[in-house]
Amino acid sequence: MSATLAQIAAARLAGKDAAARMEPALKALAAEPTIVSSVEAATARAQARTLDQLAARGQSAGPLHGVPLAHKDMYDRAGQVTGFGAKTGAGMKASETSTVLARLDAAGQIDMGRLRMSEFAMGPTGHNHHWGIPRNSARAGAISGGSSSGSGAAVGAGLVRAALGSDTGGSIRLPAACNGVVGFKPTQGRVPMTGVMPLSFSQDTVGPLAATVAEARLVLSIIAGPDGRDPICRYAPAMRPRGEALGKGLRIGFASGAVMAPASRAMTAAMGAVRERVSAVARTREVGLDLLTTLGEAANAIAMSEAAAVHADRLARAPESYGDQLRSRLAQAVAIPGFAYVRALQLRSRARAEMMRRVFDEVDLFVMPTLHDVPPLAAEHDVGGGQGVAAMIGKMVHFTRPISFLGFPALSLPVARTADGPLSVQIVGPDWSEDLIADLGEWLEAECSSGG
Amino acid sequence: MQKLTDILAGRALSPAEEAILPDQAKRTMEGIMDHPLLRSDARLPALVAIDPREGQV
Repeated sequence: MSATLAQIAAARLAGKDAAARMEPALKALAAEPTIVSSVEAATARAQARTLDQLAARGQSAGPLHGVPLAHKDMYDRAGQVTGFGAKTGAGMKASETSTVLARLDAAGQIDMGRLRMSEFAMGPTGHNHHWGIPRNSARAGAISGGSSSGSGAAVGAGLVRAALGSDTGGSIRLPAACNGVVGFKPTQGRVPMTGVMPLSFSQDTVGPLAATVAEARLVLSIIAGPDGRDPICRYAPAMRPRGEALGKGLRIGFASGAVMAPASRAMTAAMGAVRERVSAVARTREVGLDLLTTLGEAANAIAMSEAAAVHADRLARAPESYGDQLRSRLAQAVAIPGFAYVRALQLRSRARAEMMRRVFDEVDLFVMPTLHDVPPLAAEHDVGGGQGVAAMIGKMVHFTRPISFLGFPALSLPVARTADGPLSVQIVGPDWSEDLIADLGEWLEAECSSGG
Repeated sequence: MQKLTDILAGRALSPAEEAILPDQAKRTMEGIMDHPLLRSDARLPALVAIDPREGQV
């Protein structure tokens, strides 16, 4: 599936053949049980027939007319079971369709099915106690990254051009980086969470993983904006669905100092190469981001306290329904006192102000790695629920979790392909800077693919 | 709701999970309670910003 979303939509509209052309895509999904949790063929066929009838009358549903997609298994669709990456029987049948799926439906998508994810979206590696680990086509034997593991693997394997994921500490950007695709985490509050499985309500975001930056931007522009139901979703200028040329006077920062310590030699070289490219269109400078290295515990205290609030009743009634690592992490949340949670919230507000003053007064956006290196091998990260969990998670999310904690938008894109897998960086900006981030991302993506 | 009470009372932890708690407490202390941004910001409620070890109370 190498045509872009726009090309697929145009072809479906001209040929009125969404229903026929979707069948091979459904078959391909069904053949990937490590990536796909359920193929929803009946829903997909019904949607395709409706779209073909519309096209026969010369009408288009929208920019995704007839485009086959599939999404992380945490978005409600009326009448279907949302599985949450949990064990069989632990899902819930939805009575309403989530805002994000309804918006993609209205834009013309064909929703073919549900993709694997870390159990209840907790876990940055993509390991799932019940369902294993999705196949990574960018590096054989590597983790898929999590928690949107199936979304990253599905886009990486070419099963779909785009898939929704969610990001609370890196769960869009990490699987994007592991599978060599693009991941776009929006500003916290850009996309409504209505009908989306909660994890940490003050840090959760929904966004796309996609084959290209332009496609990620298009999907994000479709799902963004308040729905009048999610109180955390805020009013902000609408996103542009398409890119614009970079303006003059752009100031781009590059991470330096202690925050870069975990980066491998290959990643450091890739960052240097990106800076050299970007210097052609912007003023670049190093930015000290050491504050980011001090925010992990506060982010974790908020995430685990809020997750424990979501899961307390289920954990009490049916602890056996959780995998070992997840049950341990949730159980330990009892030892995070309320006053530590409150101070973590206070710290977030001070850290945001500090970043605005020290960083975004000096640069418009900054660039730093998504992951410290190429995607690691699965066997290296299978630590179960024991002592190594906190350290392993801390290393995986070193570059992503602080950005989620602060609520800023970030786009992850691959900038180099090595024999051991892709190397990805993220472009980070202040609240509501998604348009500028995507403009720079599209430019950088074109530069990297042309070798220019 | 006995089981939820057990969780709240910390009685639901396995020995292995309990063994991790001191390390978690240490990290909470260093990463949140003693964070310089909280210790130095006078606009935060006074009890958060004042550190008795520095003789400020």
